[in-house]
Amino acid sequence: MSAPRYIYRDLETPGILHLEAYRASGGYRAFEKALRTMTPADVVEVVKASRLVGRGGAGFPTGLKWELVAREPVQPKFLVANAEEGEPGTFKDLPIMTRVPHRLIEGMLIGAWAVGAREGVIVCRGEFMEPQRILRAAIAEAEAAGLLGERILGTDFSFKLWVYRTAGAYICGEETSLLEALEGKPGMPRIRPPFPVSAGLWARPTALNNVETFANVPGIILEGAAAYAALGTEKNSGTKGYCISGHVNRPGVYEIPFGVTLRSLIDDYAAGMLGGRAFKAVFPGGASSSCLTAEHLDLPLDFHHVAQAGSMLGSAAFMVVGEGVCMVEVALRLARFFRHESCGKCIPCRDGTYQIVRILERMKRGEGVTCEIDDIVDLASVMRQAAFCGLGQAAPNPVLSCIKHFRQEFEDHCAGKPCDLLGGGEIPYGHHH
Amino acid sequence: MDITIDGRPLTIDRPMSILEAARLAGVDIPTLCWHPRVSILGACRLCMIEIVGMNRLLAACTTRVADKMEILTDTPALRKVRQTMLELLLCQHPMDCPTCVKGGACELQALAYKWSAPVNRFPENPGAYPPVDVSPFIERDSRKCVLCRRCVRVCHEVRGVTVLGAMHRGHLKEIGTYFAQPLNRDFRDPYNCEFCGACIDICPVGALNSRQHKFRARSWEGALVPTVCPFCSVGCLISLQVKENELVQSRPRGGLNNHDQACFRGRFAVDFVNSPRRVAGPLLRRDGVLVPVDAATGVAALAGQVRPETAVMALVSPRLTQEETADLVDAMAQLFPRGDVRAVCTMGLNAADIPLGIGARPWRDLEEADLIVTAGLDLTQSAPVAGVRIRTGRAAGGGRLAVLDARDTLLGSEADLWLRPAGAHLPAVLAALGGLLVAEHPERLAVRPDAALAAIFAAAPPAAVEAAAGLEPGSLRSLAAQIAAAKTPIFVANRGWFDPSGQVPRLLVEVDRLLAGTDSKGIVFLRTDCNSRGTAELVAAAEPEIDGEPEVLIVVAADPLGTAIPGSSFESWTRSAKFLVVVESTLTPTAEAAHLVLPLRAFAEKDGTFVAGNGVVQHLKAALASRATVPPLRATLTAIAAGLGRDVTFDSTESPRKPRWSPPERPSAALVPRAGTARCLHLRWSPLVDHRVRIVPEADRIFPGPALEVHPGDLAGLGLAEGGQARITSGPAEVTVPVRADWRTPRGQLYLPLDPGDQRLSAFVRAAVRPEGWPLACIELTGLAPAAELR
Amino acid sequence: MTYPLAPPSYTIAPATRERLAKLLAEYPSKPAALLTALYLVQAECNHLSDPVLTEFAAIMEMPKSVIYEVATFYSLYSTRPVGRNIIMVCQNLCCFLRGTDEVIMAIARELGIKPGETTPDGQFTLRPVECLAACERAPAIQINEKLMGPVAPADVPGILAEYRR
Repeated sequence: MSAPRYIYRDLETPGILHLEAYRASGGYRAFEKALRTMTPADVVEVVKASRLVGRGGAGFPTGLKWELVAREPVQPKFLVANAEEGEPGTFKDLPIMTRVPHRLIEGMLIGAWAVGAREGVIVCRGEFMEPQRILRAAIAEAEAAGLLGERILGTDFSFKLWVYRTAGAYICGEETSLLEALEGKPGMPRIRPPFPVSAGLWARPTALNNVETFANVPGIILEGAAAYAALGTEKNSGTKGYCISGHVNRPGVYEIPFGVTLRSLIDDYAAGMLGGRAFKAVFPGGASSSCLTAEHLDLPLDFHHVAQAGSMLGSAAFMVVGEGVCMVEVALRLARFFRHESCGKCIPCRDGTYQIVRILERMKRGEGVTCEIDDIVDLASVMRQAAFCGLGQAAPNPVLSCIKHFRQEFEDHCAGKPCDLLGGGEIPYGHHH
Repeated sequence: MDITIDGRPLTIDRPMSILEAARLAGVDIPTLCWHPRVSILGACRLCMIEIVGMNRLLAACTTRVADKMEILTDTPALRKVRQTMLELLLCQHPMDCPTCVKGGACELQALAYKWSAPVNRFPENPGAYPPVDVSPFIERDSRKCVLCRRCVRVCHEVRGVTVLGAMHRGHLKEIGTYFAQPLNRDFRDPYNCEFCGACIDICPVGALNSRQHKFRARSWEGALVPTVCPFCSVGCLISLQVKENELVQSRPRGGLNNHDQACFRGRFAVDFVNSPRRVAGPLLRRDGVLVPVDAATGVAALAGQVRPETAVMALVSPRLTQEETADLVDAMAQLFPRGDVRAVCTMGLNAADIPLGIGARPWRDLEEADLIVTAGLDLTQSAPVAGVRIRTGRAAGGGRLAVLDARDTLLGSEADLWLRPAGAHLPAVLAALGGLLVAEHPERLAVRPDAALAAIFAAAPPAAVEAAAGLEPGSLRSLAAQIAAAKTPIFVANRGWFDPSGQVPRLLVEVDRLLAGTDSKGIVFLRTDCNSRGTAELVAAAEPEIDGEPEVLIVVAADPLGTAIPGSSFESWTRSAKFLVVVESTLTPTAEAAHLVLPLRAFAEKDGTFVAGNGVVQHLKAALASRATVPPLRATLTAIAAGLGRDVTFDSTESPRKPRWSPPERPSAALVPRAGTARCLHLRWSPLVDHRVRIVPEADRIFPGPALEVHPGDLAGLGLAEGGQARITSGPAEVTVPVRADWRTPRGQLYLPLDPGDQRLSAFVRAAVRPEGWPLACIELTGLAPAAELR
Repeated sequence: MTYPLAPPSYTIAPATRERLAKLLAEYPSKPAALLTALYLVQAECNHLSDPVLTEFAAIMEMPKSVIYEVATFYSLYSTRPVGRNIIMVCQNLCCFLRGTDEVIMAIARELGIKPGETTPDGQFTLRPVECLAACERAPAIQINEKLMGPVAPADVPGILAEYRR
């Protein structure tokens, strides 16, 4: 089992929450190195060489993103940290924000130096009231120490950092929706192009990265790109915070180099299936991904291999389903999630998620018709092609994969067979929003 | 750029979206949320297309063409997408087509006809939104809404009113209003529905309908007749749908002045032509009551009053067509040599300011101006489409906007510079502005002011004017600097204030001349009537000097008792004439006082010409056949002539008619504000409403009657209450009016809008104490409980 | 939802207005502050009612319909009265796998209301929500600002007792 090396390093050190202990463990040395001995272009090169990709789920090369923003001559430029952590099954950013917030701040400082941004925002989801306070306190500490604000460490470099809380919408994890929320509007995604790197917050060049992405940066700067690139797999470098929850004995998030197998993740890190039950399915990338089954237990878990297996690693949010769970219910829970969180802008997502839930609810009640299974499959393919943003495109993934791997359960429900699996009974409530 | 669409090559010479390119090539890509008038949304996903070499579908409206693109617009995958989108929309859509108002004109119907699959896999489940809505004039049925958000975009972007919004999220998303309140005119709220109907026009389905015309006819029935709106001088082009000689609906059509927009009047108030309160035939006063008579009797009654020496005067309003006005002038000249024809316009223009700013200034200029300066009251209320053009013109051209308007209006809140001088002081403000331009920016002037003008400027020192008018010190200086810095400033004015001598437009004309010299194209002057400009070219408006008063007064389409300046000659002649003949389409207050009323055809019943305020000549086309008892004006005049035993010829090239206007008077000495004027009441016109609007059913829900307008924060201090009444006394004059809290009224000021036709208010104004004709009255105010009787 | 308490006539108190003004001064523009400002007003006025938002729109100098669009889009704003304590219970997949349904029903039984409702005395609102990013402690609930998990049905009376007043 591997120890945390980049994002969760020193998480257990007493007092690491505060500046003093963070600095004592080597904190802000990466930033000083970047500020005093490297040009912004140097920093970009190092990040590019490390082959770090975005940890929020999209997997866009971070170095390239920063290079695009750095190139923009317009000022002001912004740096935004996406701390929405809305994907079900994801909880990897919270430990960074609530236990070693200075690592996030340091990563953002390096990023601001690299792209030329003078203002930054950490955008937390609305439910993160406590984490927001912790972040503000950490920022205050950093400001008091001359690490944030004007003339940082006695140089001409200034960077002001804010914390902003959105108000409860999963769609705001999507980068353009997040920018809309920052601008005081409903979080509906924007037309792209233009992309945030050229026209983002208030139509200015904006580098928007996930919290975990920023948390990798100090280590990369300090130890060099090669060390980072040496970890992981051929296609995906470095480490990842793997979240694992559901029917496992020890749910949690573990920083592991890319390439750990599913079996290892469950057995070695999460201490095996809950109560020794058999493994049934897992959603590797949270609610937006297709499920994998027992045949994939030895799959190395990186973006590439998971995609080849027909799913998506995303933010590495493994929701493990053990035997004895009704997959129609599983599909329904996730379908309801998407229906609730759809922003309502485009027809395929707004009405498609609604129809999927309606059909699944009928199946649960035993009123479903077999051809409706194919209706869902068909609708899903259209949603994937036509939806305006990633939410609508990904929304059908869970139900599609459940049908693909567990079609019999769906057909049994349509045939009216009683289901004695977990969740197979009547839904006790149906209240939504 | 060279691209192919469905295999056909196309060369594109400027950046555009794939959708635009397809339209150029005549290829039909289905759309729903796209509309040329509003911003691109990309929400309906009906316009998806394929590009060879890309494995993703793209939306045509949001994707720009790139060189060498090969676009496919009709493949099995795309058909699948379109079918599915329509299935999803239709399964939630009430299948009301046979009885739906929009049937036949519905874009969803058309799309379904062309693109949908024969079977809908998703069963019918029309949404839970209740269709009940109690707004006047505009009906909203959310069940039929496809959430294209065109209405929201037109309301926000084009009209600026921002009443409709897309509320909630996801499948609960609904086009609605704040807290789902009905569309209403709430004068305590700056953003409330103007009932312009733009949302109705842009809605592709039957979710937004005109309540007024609902169920009168199907969309394909009857004829569509293009004509011109008969209300204000913007001159919006409208299209009347007529079925079985009844006006079904009026909708705006594309025009030079209005683009494709209209306001409440052009869209809904034109319904007055259908009113049973139209004058249907001649009425003669017998025993104090107007009774219907036949034409011969009426004409005989008039003839009986006329001797060769009788002084006969005709008063005409600028609501007649050019042809009718010319006929009247011809007839008067031939029949009554001792007579005269004068124009009396709505809002009491009695001096010769009709020809002001007589250069034709196209509205298009607003888009090229780098600075637009508006001065007047409530520009967006007196001529709403002008307000839209100013806003959208500025948005398109990027110029700056400076607004001089005491009231809180949309235009003011969007302006780059907004000064709010109390109404009475606006002329002084403009004079001070002129003085600042002369003193501080002499290099900018094309000509120097003459002595008279210089004296007027000198009499209005900026500091004193700012203090009296309640402006921030230095604000006039900034405005002057902005004007001087602009290369192409355009001035826009209207007559919202009770400004008898027309100082505001006069002063603006002078300022414009100073800046542009002989290149001056004039100001944009928003006159109040649809043919003000045209009438000005035929008839003078100055009060003439005649000895004695006219004994016989023929008032044609004018309403001196309702709209002339109280106390003016026009008003007093109307009261004193021995025999008052009114030729009108509806029973105005003047008609109610007449001895003989002759019917007049309404705008929808005649061909003719209006000249819009900026000189554009536009043509009316008769859409309705009027009753046999309502002849054209020419026939009425011929009948009058016959009754007098005479002949009259029209259109004779030998007619002695000459243009009767003289160059506009220069501004008189600007009114120097006085300190210490006791509580003042600012009088203003409420120009949106005239008697034609008042007879439209439910119009009073949109335009409640006149009331004392007070800022909500001032009510308590004045001892007034919303919904209560106030007794206003000024010298011997007294009137009791309701009190209305109006957000737009500046703090510390009181406004009284003069509704044309409200005799009590006219009487009050006539008798009120007004220092030297200022547009305000010194008054005492007493709050009364709501129990007091109204009117 | 039945809410027997008389509709509160909240308007924005002067102290709230002061705090709002201070908040707005920290942001580059009023729209930038909108979401945060709505939180402030909601916290002090219980919920975003018609009179409150009317005043708020005037302070923000934004049209009411735009403010209402934002207020109804986001789940954490409420335009209807809510209890003093808002209990959010995750109903998403991982919490379901670890027994959140029983926890929700336990809370509902304990409070005598249905999920989604507010208790008649205005103490608690029970709100089933989506993932709270606490899947490792499923089933998770968040009461006001405090995140708790894993919660068992037997823990419910004790947890609620701390919030009863």
